[in-house]
Amino acid sequence: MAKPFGLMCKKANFPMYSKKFRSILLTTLAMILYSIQLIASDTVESVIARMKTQTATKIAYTETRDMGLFSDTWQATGVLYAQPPNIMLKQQQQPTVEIMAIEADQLYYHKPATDTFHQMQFDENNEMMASIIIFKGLMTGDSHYLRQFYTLSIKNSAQNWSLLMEEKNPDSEQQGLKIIIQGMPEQAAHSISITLPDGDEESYALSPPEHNPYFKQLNSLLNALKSH
Amino acid sequence: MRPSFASLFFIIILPLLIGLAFFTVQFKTDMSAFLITGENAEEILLASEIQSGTLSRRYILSIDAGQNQVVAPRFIETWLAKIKTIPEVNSLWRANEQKNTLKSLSTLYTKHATQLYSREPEKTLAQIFTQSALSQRAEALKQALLSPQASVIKKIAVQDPLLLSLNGFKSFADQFKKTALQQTGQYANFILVTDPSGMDIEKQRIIQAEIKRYFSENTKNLAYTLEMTGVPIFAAATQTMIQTDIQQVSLLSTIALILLFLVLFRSFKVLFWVSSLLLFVISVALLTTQLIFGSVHGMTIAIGSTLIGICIDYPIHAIVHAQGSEPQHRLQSIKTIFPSLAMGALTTLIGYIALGISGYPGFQQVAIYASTGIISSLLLTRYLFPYLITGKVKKVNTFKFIIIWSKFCQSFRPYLVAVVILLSAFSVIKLDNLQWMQDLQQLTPELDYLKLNDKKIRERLVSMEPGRFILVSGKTPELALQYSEQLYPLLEHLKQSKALDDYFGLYPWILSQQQQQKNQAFLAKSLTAEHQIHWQAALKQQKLSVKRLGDLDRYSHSVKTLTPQEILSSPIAPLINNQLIINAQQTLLIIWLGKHNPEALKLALKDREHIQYFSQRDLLNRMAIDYQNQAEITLLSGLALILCLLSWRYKSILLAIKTLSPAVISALLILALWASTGEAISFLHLVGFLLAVAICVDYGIFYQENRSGNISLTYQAMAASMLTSALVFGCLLIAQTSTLQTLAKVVTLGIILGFLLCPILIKPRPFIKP
Repeated sequence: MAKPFGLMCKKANFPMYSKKFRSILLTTLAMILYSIQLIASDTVESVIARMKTQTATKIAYTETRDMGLFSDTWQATGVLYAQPPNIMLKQQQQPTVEIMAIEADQLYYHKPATDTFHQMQFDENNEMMASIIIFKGLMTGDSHYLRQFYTLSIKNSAQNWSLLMEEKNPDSEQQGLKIIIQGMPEQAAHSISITLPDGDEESYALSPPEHNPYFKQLNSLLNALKSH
Repeated sequence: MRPSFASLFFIIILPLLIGLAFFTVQFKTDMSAFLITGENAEEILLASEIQSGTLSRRYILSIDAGQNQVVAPRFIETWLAKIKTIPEVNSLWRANEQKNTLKSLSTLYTKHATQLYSREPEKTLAQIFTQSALSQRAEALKQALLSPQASVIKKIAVQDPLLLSLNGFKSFADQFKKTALQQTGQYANFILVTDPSGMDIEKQRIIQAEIKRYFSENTKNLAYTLEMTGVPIFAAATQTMIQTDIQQVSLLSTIALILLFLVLFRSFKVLFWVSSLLLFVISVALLTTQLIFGSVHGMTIAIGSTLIGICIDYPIHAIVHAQGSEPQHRLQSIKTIFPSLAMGALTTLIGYIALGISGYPGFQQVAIYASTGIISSLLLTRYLFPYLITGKVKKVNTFKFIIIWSKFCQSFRPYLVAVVILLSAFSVIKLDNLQWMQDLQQLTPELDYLKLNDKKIRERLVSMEPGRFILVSGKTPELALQYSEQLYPLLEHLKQSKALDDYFGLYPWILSQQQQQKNQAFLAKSLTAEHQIHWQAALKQQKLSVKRLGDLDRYSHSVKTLTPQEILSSPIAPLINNQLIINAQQTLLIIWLGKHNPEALKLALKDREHIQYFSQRDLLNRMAIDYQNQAEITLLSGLALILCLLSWRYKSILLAIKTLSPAVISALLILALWASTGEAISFLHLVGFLLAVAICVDYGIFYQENRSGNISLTYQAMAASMLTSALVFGCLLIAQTSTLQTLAKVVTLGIILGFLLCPILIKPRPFIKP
């Protein structure tokens, strides 16, 4: 009945399509990918190694969801923040304000319109948090850790580079999660596309990142969450 | 039979008997089985479940990270993974774990959405099927599909677009929120269920040790503490306590008896034969008890170890009277005193038999154990022992005090009788001040630390009172569910009137078949084309797929109802199987209660058939009073029977009363002493009195009959047997179990007093043939 740590993280189907954790995924990937240089000649390991971030980063994003139960695509816009070593915050601004943040092992979520607030342990045993576990690994540049759960491959062309992450050992009834991160050669990622096991898709268009030792907005949002 | 044959026979048979007893007897230590029973079938079934069913196999584990600290998720994950590898651990989950609930929602409950959405379908559907309510529902669906729980919501929505299956779980979600808030931080709580029963102490000890070992291995650099509670914890602690008591008491009483023997009789050979005789007696008693009951309870052995002090009386009397005679006259000496021994044994037997038929669950075993021992000892003393005492003539060492006391009593008897009468009168008056123990939980103060720990741990979970709940019974699960559903409106009313904080029944997990069918029929009837139009319009407004979510006709299709058996075979079974007890004859359903006003609840539930407010404390208190009343009747009946027996034997009631008087008056004086000190007495004290009287009556008989014709010798023999009995019962004072301490005080004091009163109250006469 022993469950290795990795398998504990990887509960049925890695529900990456949970909004909170896709957001965190997005934040982490966007923040670390801006530093990718000379991808055309890089391997997966060297690209991931460069994903480690050293300064605070801010990226504007547009999120699009194409779901089978929606009659139309759904869109949202907002801002992603990340501050090493362990802070990530996503602020959705349209159509509704939602804020989600992770600091160390605490996860915060706040939706002012419905006065919904959650604070919980970042529980590695919770399948909803599986993506967070993975992308915390990305922040540390640990490709070995990622390869326990995903097959990683990189494709280079003159126009762009693509990093493909495919879920290993998915539920036998469904295909696994697929994540494609793309960017121009020697530039940061400009898009992330996530295909969920049930065929729904999410994509993120990313603005070029800003980086700064300190973002006032990030700290004020985080403090507001913590003092809720 | 030559002495050598007797010795040989005894030496061969004895080890065989001991071996048989050692290897075949099954021991049990469940205190509740020894002391507690129920008044009615429901309580008995519940007691049985607590002893060996699902309720007995659960632990609550609580990890405390310390103030302002948080239990690290990584630690929890590693430790849980290891705990699950322990053999015979059935399941383990966090107290606030929603994983199985969410999964069950989409796999099990969605298809029964039309049956389980409400306890009051008329009211619920009237609220749902309005245009504005449907619009709100569509908006909520949209938000849910954009939420972190989207993966689960999607699976539910394609079958149940109105999310009716989530209706019943709203209040449940609030409770989970409460525990989730409690869980974030200092404490992490888990429920662990084992395969073996909680009363299987050996296996539970192994599991407990492994849990602690894994915890210790994983917290070397962490300042976490682990606390555990549950039936197995109490059971293991009780068994440890009883085992320790048996070992310590047996060791001490053995050493004390050996020393006493050597002082009195100055013979290792006599010590050897008497010890062998006692081993024989105990082996026979164990095997007989095992044969009749299938096992022997630890408390039987603990209380029964006092049997040594009783059974040793017969060979002691035999030795005292026989050792002073030539070997060829010893058999005759023993034959002469045997009728007194037999009468003494009979009166003692009456005491134990009265105990056995009193109704106390565990004392029936004690009665069989003791009776077998007494009869065996008596017969061995008469028919075998004479052939074992083959040594030279030896005078038994006498205590000077015995001689002085005896002479003193003879010299001042009238005055001493007057003093005794005065003291007795005073005692009778004092009886009014006797305080009776009202709370049976006071019988086990040594377990108070576990009870406090249990309360502390449970307060960290959803606030549920573990010892008080509502018990619903029905012949079938369907009937039990129907009765409980009739109760929910009343409980809601009690909540509104603040008499009850919260309650935890079986809804939303299951409803009766009757209610499920009613829900289904009502929904099909309520759903109209207009509702469908409003719903589709709402979906369009929210930009949700009308094609996949707009068809409400699916709610009109009839579906097979969900049964309790299906639930109990599903992943959520561990969440409810401590509330549903199904056996062939009846089903019990438990509704847990939060903080509440017990009197208000009792009043509200009064006269409701099949429904009972159950309070463990009240049950124990009621039992305390019942046992007390029974003990009084048993004691008086036992005394009456002994009086009749003695009257028949002596053909004189007056003589019988005189013979009985030392025993009765010693009991009276002790009662007066407790009345003066204010010590609360329980039925156990009365049981102790019964034993003391049964033993003291022997002294009265021996003194009265004086079959040897030598009152000094008779009193010396009585002194020897009194000392051994007092020593053995006195050793119980070192026991941790307060039950045994109580018996020690009562019996030891009783028999010493009874012995001292004999020369005062009974005038020594020459030997009288009946």
